[in-house]
Amino acid sequence: MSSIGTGYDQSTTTFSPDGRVFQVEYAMKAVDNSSTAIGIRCKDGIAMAVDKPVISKMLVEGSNRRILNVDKHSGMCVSGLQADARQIVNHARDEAASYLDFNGGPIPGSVLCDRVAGLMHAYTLYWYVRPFGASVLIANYAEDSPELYAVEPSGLSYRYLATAIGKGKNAAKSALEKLDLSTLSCREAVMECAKILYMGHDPSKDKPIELELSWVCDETNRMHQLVPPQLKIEAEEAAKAARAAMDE
Amino acid sequence: MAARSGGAQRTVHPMVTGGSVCAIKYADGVLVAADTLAAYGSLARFESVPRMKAVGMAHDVLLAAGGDISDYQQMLKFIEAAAVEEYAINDGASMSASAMHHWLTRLMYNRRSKMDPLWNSIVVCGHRDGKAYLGTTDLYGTMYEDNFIATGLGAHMAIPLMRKTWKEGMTEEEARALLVECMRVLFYRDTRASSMITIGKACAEGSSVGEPFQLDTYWEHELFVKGGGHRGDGSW
Repeated sequence: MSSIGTGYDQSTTTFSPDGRVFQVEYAMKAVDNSSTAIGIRCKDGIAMAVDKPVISKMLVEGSNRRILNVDKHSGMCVSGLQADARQIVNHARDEAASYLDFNGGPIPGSVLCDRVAGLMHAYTLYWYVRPFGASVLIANYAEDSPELYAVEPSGLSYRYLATAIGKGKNAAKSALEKLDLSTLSCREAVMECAKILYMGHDPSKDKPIELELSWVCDETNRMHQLVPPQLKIEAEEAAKAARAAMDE
Repeated sequence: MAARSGGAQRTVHPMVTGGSVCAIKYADGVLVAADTLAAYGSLARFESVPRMKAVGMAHDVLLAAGGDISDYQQMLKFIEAAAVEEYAINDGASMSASAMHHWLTRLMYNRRSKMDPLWNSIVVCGHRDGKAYLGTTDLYGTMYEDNFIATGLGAHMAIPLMRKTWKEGMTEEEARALLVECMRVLFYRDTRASSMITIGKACAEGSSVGEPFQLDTYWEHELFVKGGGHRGDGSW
């Protein structure tokens, strides 16, 4: 990101001479400044997690959700500008509902991802709109396999075994690469998600955080939901212990 | 076929229809009975069509319907879409039987006001916070709650039986026996009824629909067996 826009960074409808669309890159910057979000796909489901900075002690616990249900079998974890992300989630809900209405079955991950990516791409094409300042992870367990997708502000989308977006994505990704995803269960993946997020958080330096953890797996009857309170406590305790062990 | 003339065309006759629904409150909740026939006019076209379902996000509301089966199926889709919306909002709230009944009544009334009704009589049952709920709505959007309800021909033939037999705090066995008796009378007298019955239950444990079963019937009355031929005039 060393080059400067030099006049080519004000609009998404003009390429720079070296073939870039700066507004889209700036939108991705908005994501890189935001909470880290992680997704892991296992054989029996998908686990997602995100850390939220606690912006005020007066804030009610569980406010400003960053993991949201799209359909019964499908959820999203978002990073970036929350207001932008909410529009993406609302759109995804509409797509899932209309797919169900029209086809009589749950929307497949590939279709949902395509529709969301299409929306986000469309917002990079016209002078009168700006790109979404948010990336999303999509966890979808329809048909026979759980699938994890990530969609960027550019409209690019990929299917992943595990990925991370947001501030700590590089550290998180290298931690994810060390996991054996072929044997990991979804319950274990939830624990790993919490560990990775706590690794990237220094309580003496960083603002306090609140975790959100969700899963959609065989254990939840293929329903996407926040993990039960008991599991969340267990995951956070294990994560704090692992972090403490690292520091010594 | 004559060319269609001016204006929007609407369905003005139900095509594939279900018959009566009977429901009563009992000590622990509500029981509902309906047969499984979907008739095409007077033809017994589909013999095992379920006409009741546990619906809503918590699956604790029991919806049973008579009238046009495709309209009923459409209604189930609306309800499922609303349930998914509730699931997405994820604030722990879900529509109660009472809320759903009022909402469906709005739906029915809106549709009849567009001169395009959902051609059904519906019965909505539920049990929440220790209280049973039983209500009905017809294709005009007329709604009421009661301790016992019968739709279709049942409103004429089952209601008198219920008035006679129903009492506060019936046991499940007593309530089942009363419903079976109502359905049997309907089967004998209603030409669009079948003897294959399902009974659904809404109680503190939630809502469920039982397996279909055959009604016991008796056809061995002397004149039925002998026929009217002995009179010489073919009369009974």
